[in-house]
Amino acid sequence: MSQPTSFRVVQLGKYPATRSLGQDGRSRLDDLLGEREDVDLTIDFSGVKVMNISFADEFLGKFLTSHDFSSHGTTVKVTGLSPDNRYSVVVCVERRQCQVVVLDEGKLVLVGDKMLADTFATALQLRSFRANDLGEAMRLTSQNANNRLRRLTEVGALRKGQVTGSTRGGREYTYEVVPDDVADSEQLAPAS
Amino acid sequence: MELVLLGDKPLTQGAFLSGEGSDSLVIDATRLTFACPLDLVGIVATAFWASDAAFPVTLRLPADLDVAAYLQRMDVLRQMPPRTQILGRLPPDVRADRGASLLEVTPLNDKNVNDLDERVGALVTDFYQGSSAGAAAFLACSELMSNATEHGTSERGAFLAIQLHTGTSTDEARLEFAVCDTGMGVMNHLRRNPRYALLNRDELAIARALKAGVSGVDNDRRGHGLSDAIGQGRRHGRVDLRIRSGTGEVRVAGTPSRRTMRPSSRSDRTNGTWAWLTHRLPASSETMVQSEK
Repeated sequence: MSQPTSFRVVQLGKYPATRSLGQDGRSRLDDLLGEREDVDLTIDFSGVKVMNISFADEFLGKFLTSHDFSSHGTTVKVTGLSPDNRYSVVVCVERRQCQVVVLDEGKLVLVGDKMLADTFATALQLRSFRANDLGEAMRLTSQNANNRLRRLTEVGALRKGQVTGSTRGGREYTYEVVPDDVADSEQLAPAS
Repeated sequence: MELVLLGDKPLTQGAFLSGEGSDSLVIDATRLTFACPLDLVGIVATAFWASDAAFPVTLRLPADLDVAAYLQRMDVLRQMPPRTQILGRLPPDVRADRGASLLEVTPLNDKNVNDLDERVGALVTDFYQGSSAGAAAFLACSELMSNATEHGTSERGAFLAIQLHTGTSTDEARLEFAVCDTGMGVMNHLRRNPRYALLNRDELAIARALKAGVSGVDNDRRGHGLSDAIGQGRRHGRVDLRIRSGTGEVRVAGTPSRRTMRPSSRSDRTNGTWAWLTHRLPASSETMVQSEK
């Protein structure tokens, strides 16, 4: 059972713009995740009027690149981005060569890499699937499909679960896309 | 030493610190006729640098009482170092609420930078009516503030000021922002990165720092702050950024379609880094800021 958890960035300020503040926010995010398993983390930028790219990089870019989210079954998405703040997020993930799922007007998209964005879009249509399903849908070799799925689970776009009682021998996994709803932030705000 | 401030916006024109080597500082603003944020902040930063070296500091006020009143209104006199001798006449300090159009000369350091970002953010984005141009202008200001507190730290700190012109009393609507720190300067900061250890001319170091990905912090994918400040500013208007540090100065002018950079050397030395940013909306923009004009 996954645990929806939300972090409201506006707690750092309406105009967050320094690396020190980004570092502080990233530490709070790390504390929020701790060693918990199967967390559906939403990073909510609602109420943030303008953030600069240095803050976005120190807060979000470094958070994304310092975790392998697949190791704890964590999914990550960001939401509540104004067009200007979305631009800062896109710039920072491109510079860090990482990816993140953005929930925008009820739609999930992955930003930061065109190929993985296309793969994520296909995964969204499949919702819950196995590697072979993705391979067939995108006409990929099994190895290629598995490589893309590994990268998508590492950035928290998908959650991987092992199929029990597989009849095919060896390990077999199912994948689920990050949920497109947002947790009640008041209930799940980080401990101060 | 003497800093003579003559005419309009002298620190953006040709005013320089003369008589280096003497053991006192006189800032002569007697013939100052118009001051921009760089003049205001530059006066205070220069005075603090001299005061820190135990030089007595004297400020001669503008003979024009309106200009003297402006220096007073913008807190130049309040922020001068203790024991500064201030000579000249001052009118009564009448303070109309101009909170929507200016930020007085304000000390900036790593303790208050986040609070000041909140103030500057609200001030600038309100001025631009919440448009993307306002976000871009704030982004540029905040990157310069971060540089001053992160790379320009010193015991004396830094100072900033903002003046927003609606265009009703001046020639055009614009934002003017200045931040002057008294830290190690651009070249010494870049030299901390082994890649730039051999830099030996200030203007070239500043020009290098304006390029994307150039930082005194090695191996952290950083060094985009100044480049972003210009890039964002010119995406949504016209930006003019001048940076002085050591004996160098670089002026960058950018529009959505063009960017020019002009490095030059100076006859005086700027102790720390001074940045002056002017942002104007594109001529075709139909925002309320311009329609007021």
